[in-house]
Amino acid sequence: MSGAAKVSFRNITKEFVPQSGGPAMKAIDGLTLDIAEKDFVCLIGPSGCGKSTLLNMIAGFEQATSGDVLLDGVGITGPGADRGVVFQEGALFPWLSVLDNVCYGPRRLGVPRDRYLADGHAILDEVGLSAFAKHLPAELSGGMRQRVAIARALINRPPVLLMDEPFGALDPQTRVLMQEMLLNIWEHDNRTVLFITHDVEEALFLGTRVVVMSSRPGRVLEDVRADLPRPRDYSVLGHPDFVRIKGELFALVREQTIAAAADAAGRTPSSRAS
Amino acid sequence: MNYRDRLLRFGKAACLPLAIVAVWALVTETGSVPAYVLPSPRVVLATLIDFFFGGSQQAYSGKFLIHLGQSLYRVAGGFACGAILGIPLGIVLGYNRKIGAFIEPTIELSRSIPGICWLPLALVWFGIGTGTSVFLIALGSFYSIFLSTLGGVRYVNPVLLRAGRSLGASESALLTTIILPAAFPSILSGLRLGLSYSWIYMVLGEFTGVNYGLGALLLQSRDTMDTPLIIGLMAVIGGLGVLSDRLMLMFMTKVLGMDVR
Repeated sequence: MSGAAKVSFRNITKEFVPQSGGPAMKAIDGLTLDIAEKDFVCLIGPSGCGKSTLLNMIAGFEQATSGDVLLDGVGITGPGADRGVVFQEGALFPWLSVLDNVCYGPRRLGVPRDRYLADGHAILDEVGLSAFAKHLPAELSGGMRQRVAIARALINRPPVLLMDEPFGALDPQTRVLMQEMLLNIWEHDNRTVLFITHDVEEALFLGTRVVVMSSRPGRVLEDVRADLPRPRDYSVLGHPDFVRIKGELFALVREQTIAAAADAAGRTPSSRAS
Repeated sequence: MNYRDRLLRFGKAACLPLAIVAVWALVTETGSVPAYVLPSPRVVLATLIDFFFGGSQQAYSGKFLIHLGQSLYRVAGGFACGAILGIPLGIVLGYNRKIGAFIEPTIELSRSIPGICWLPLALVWFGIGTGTSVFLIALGSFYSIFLSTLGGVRYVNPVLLRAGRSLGASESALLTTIILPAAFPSILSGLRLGLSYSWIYMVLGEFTGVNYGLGALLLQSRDTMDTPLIIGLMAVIGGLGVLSDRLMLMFMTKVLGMDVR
């Protein structure tokens, strides 16, 4: 890693106080992680390990209970257009057309109309949706909606792109196409990406690094560089290194998932007792 | 939906009303029911035609537009007051829970007083006439408009707000470009509900003994035992309710280009 990190988590702890009362629950415990500029970091781990919480901290939606979240060495105070976010369910504005959804960001930032329209059309072209500019989100398939969501996040040219299981709800075939499209875009502009997923194969296919988190409370368990050839396409899935690392990561995540399940069972004995 | 499907749907919907009118005609024309209890559809229709276009010596003959004008005036005034109060208040309290905590419980509490209970007090305050009607209509429409607006604004999908913030929207832009458009369908359904309450409270307000208005005439026609006019007026008031609802829906969707989901 050269130079200062683009994004860093310094000794992050996050506690939640359950709404039903009771003791605070530690979701993340003393996590430290640096993400260099142009890194494509994929974060995997069992449900509830706090991976979305980490992403929300960089996005400025949530705050750490203790520790620092830094962007270019400066503490994050709130959401901003310098960090694009793609949500699991797209979160498109249902009353706006595809083009208006994509142009939402630049309009808020005061970009002149001519320019944001040109940008909007160009980026829709890039994600293959030029023909759907005037459609409403409800008229699109799930995969198309996620492409709009990616275009909408990219049009502001944010130095950091945050993706929270963006392909989790898609069917496997669509997901593969979306992954290839995303890689294609990233290999052109090399922006810093934090990508959260449940899917080991997806993480290894996309990322320059794969970070495995432990079951709750979340810590960094493993940090693997994915030095597989680029540009990548799906032939990399058969690469011996890919198969080997994938096997190791899969075993690790499985172990943590079992631990998380045991933990959940221990926490709610009455509901699990048979 | 194509033309044939529409026709079919209309046909299905018309079956029951036609059957009711047929039975109604049967029992009245054969004289099995006294005419002062239930006049025949033919007589009701003739009375309505007289009411609309004139032709007889009856006091109401040809006076439809005068009565309609008075009632519309009250409905429009009261509904406008309800909306002018309800929408902004709903937006402010829905957007800002801190202010809401001071005002909302009071509104909830006052809502448990049935609208009719306000009638005597309204008469004391505003006397017999338009003032009382407008007050009751405003009150009756306010609650549904206010509550729907509040709910629509408060329960905007939080992910949409996060998306807006991360795309560079300021707090005021969030309100105008996300919260209000997202809340629009609830606001519209509140307005529709409020309008239907307006017609109800219009009749109540006019039952206090004003001279003109559809509700006033309805009460007068009971005093003169004019059953055909009673039934005719019920149909007219109901029809106006449906018509005003359709017109408002059309205005909102076609003219303002807002979507209704």
